[in-house]
Amino acid sequence: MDLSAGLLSVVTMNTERAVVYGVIGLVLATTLVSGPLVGTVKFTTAPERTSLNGGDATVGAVTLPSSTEITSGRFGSGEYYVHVPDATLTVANVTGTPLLAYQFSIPAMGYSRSTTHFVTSADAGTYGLSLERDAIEPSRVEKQSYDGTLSVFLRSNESERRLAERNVTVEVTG
Amino acid sequence: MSVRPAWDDSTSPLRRKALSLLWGDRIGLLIFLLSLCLFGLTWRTAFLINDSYTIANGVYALEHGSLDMTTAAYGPGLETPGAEWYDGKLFSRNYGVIFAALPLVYLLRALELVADLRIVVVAAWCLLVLAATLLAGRIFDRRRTATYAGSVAVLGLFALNVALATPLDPVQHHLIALQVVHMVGAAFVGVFAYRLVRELHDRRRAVMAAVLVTFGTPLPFWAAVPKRHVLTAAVVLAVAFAIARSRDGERAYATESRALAYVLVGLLAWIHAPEALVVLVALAVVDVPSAPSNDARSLAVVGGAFLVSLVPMLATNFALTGDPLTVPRALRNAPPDADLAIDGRSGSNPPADGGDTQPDAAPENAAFGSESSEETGTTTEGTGGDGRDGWSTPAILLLGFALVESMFEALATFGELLTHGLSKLSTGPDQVYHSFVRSGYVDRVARRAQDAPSANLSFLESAPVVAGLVAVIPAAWTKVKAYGGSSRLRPRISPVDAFVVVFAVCYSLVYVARLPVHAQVTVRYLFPLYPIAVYGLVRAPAVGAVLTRNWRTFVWTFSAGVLVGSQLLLVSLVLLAPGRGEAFQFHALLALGTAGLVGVWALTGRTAGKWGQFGAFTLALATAAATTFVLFVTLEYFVLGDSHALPMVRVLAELIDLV
Repeated sequence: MDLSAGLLSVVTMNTERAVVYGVIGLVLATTLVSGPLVGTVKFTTAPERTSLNGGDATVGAVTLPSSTEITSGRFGSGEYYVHVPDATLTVANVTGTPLLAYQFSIPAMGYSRSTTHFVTSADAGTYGLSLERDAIEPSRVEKQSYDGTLSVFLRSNESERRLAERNVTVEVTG
Repeated sequence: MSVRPAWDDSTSPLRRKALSLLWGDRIGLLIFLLSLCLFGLTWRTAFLINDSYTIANGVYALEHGSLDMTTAAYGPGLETPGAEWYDGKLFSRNYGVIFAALPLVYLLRALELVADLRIVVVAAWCLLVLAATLLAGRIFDRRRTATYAGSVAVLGLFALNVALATPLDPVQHHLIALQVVHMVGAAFVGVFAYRLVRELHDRRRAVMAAVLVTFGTPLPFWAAVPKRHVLTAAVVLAVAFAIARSRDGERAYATESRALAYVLVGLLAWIHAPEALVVLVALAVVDVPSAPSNDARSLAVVGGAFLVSLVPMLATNFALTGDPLTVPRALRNAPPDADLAIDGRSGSNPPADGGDTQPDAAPENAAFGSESSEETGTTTEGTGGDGRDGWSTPAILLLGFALVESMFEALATFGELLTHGLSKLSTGPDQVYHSFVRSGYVDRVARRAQDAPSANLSFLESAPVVAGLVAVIPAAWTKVKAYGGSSRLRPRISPVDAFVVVFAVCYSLVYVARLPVHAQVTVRYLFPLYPIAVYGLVRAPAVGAVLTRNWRTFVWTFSAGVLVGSQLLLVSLVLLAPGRGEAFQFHALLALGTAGLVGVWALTGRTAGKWGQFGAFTLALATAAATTFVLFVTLEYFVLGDSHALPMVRVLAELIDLV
């Protein structure tokens, strides 16, 4: 009885040990295989980089927001935020990856900000351009309203075209 | 459930001694392994703060055989914050960690010859998880379950991460080595929180201390950032532990523990001398009067060990300046970047001077390091000169004199800093309030912060659970009532508590004059105060009782708070669409809310029945608020170009896009 129980515990101990060493061995073996010694196997793949400015698209029906605003930060964060609603446009006939740029500037404040969107053929149809809420120091905000300019550019095959531009009033609230 | 914290009988005595020295028992080791697993999750292999460029370039220089920096392997150039000119050479800082990181650089280079570094990181993390599971299985006597479940889980995690892996940026060896050094140091914060509390209380309370310090403070956020803060925190806790360990002269290794406390301080001086000095003052003030014996033998052991532990720093000084007694500014002073502290000009500096994104390494004044002694309160130029003149005196005595003199000079500046801190309390209480209680929009911080002016939380907002410290008020009140004002029965303060209080007061006063500054995120300069506060919290009778008795409520509330709460938070943040500063302040208000609950409960001081459950509930919510903040910072606010070490975390971060 004692003997069989002892034998059983030895067997389970050995299975446990085998499992643990098996896992460790597998992990280490995979790590070795990943290295330069085994040249054919590669586990890490760099994300594909989209080539810049290569391509073109037909863009139409650009809709720019009619107003933007500067609001004071919530939750006691104190600074001001520039809020620009999204612009929409339609994209068709995409070749390669052209760039769409959405820009907003307030000349009186010396403020300018833009985002760049890579467009691929998967984006055909209605496309939204956004600008993130951007923080600015309270000391820069001196007036109740400013004049701002919104514009959308298409950069394709090393040329840049302005697709739309609109002057907007920037209301300061809060 | 039986718990087996002792080492296996089969462990050889020598190995057992080594394990005990570092981790105490198996639970300490488990805390260490689990901490490293956690830090692996929050690890991003990129620079968070530009001070770290200086240290990484220092490692690069050392690998190429010199202490002074000539090549800017990282960052925009060599004159990044903390870099110091001396005698026409530009030196790095925190040489202790630079030397510690060097072997790891070689290891990484060797590993790279046989494996892909990203897969190495993933494999190391997976094996850590496996080790932690197996160890937990042994501790809780569930060996088989742990073995099988752990193996399956680790294989799954490994496969998942390998499938998602992208190559690691090839030039970052020095940074990664530094990060590993700091993560290991940070893991000892939890270990020594456990061991320290274990000296004074039961095991469960000690484990809860480690849990609170790991999840209730921004420890996981700073663990992988090559900055001294986590290391100072670990040393402070280890010193407190050594004090507790050495008060009973009959106990085995009592004198050795005492000596070890000084050795740790000496080694910390190699990393950051001014902070080491603060620890040393608190240690000496408490240790000498409360030691079991101060006979010649024990003083010789302690003093000798301390002197030996200073050797690395002195040797580095020698190599930097050609004179071990000339403590270079690079080591003793924190330069204009406010990083402290022990420098004579601190009073005349504009108080807002500080922070890391500041480019002024001021080469024109620093190029003549040896002559600008008016701003180097701790250099010992004069002493070095005396030594060269008077060769008749034995060199060892001169060394002693010089050290003493250097010590006194440092102490004088230290005293000055304390005075500045005290005067700050009266002249700028609002700034102290911004640092400790409510951050909000602080003009002088915002002016220097670039894109997120209010993305710096206060102490309480970063670790709301410390609000529970107010529990000492009802406890003290009960005591005062019990003693009836009789002065003869004054309660005795234990040496560890005295050390902790002296350190906390000195440390806060030293830094408070310069706070708040930008680029702190969670008042990182005060980081060592977080574990200290957790220690005080766990020691408070009401909190300790609740954590021990109602730990289930704590664990469930905490898990729900992190798992469910973070998702609710994500939804609200998506709806609110905040800027980064707003998002930080949203977290801040949330944390203050939980801190309020903790405070209210702690003020009642009640632990019986439902009150106990409520107490555990509030403590867990506050802890979860801190963890959630760290989670969001890792996954969203500071993704640092999606440089997460573990591919699965990177993919999760890429899925979430808030600000």
